Amino acid sequence: MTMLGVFLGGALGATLRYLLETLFSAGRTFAWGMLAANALGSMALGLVLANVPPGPLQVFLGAGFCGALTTFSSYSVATVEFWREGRCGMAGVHIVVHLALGLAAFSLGVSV
Amino acid sequence: MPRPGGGRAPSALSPVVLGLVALGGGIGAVLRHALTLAVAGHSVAVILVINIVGSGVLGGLSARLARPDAPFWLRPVFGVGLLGGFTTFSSVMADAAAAGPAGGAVQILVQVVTCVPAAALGHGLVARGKPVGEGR
Repeated sequence: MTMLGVFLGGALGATLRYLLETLFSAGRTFAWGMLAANALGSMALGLVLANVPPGPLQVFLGAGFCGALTTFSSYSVATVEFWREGRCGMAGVHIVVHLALGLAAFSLGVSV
Repeated sequence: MPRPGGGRAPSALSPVVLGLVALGGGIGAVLRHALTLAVAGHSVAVILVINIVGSGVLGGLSARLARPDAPFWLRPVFGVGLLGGFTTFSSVMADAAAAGPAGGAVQILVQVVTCVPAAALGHGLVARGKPVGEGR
């Protein structure tokens, strides 16, 4: 049952991230959609860990939904793509902005 | 340009593509969660390995996707879904916050200095093995 929850949460999270990327990243010079997904997902995980007791619901929301809404592989690959395009400054900005916003969003989620 | 297998690729927001993303994302999340359970008590290290492997494979996949003969389902199901859902950013933030300023900074730095080169390596291996324009 827990794994079914993780599957459903992961399916929802990945779909929401894809919608954000399709609406706010495609054709733009900065991957705003991915940034929104990582920041929103980090805030949501803070909310979940602070307010939902350990159990199937926390696993569904945390490991499933928040885990799949956020992504590290696309973040790494986008960094490499900026660098390969010669936009090394943007690669640095991309790295730092995700981390700064992600940490701030997680803290915000915990404290709300 | 004709696509492999014929027919037109579905649009970005078609139900088929969204379904492929959801399927891949669900499987990726289950794989990640199963690995964290299998190596219980070492979630920081497990997530690091997951993110390194996922970044490397997606790096290689990005080189494959850059070629015009990439099938339409490849990015939604494997790139966005499976690898996007397998790797995670929110757990990294949670573990870093729990570790305090110094420990958290080290954790994040290790993630970045391992996963980004892994993505570059994956891209380089696939791009070198099958240069753009030379087909399969």
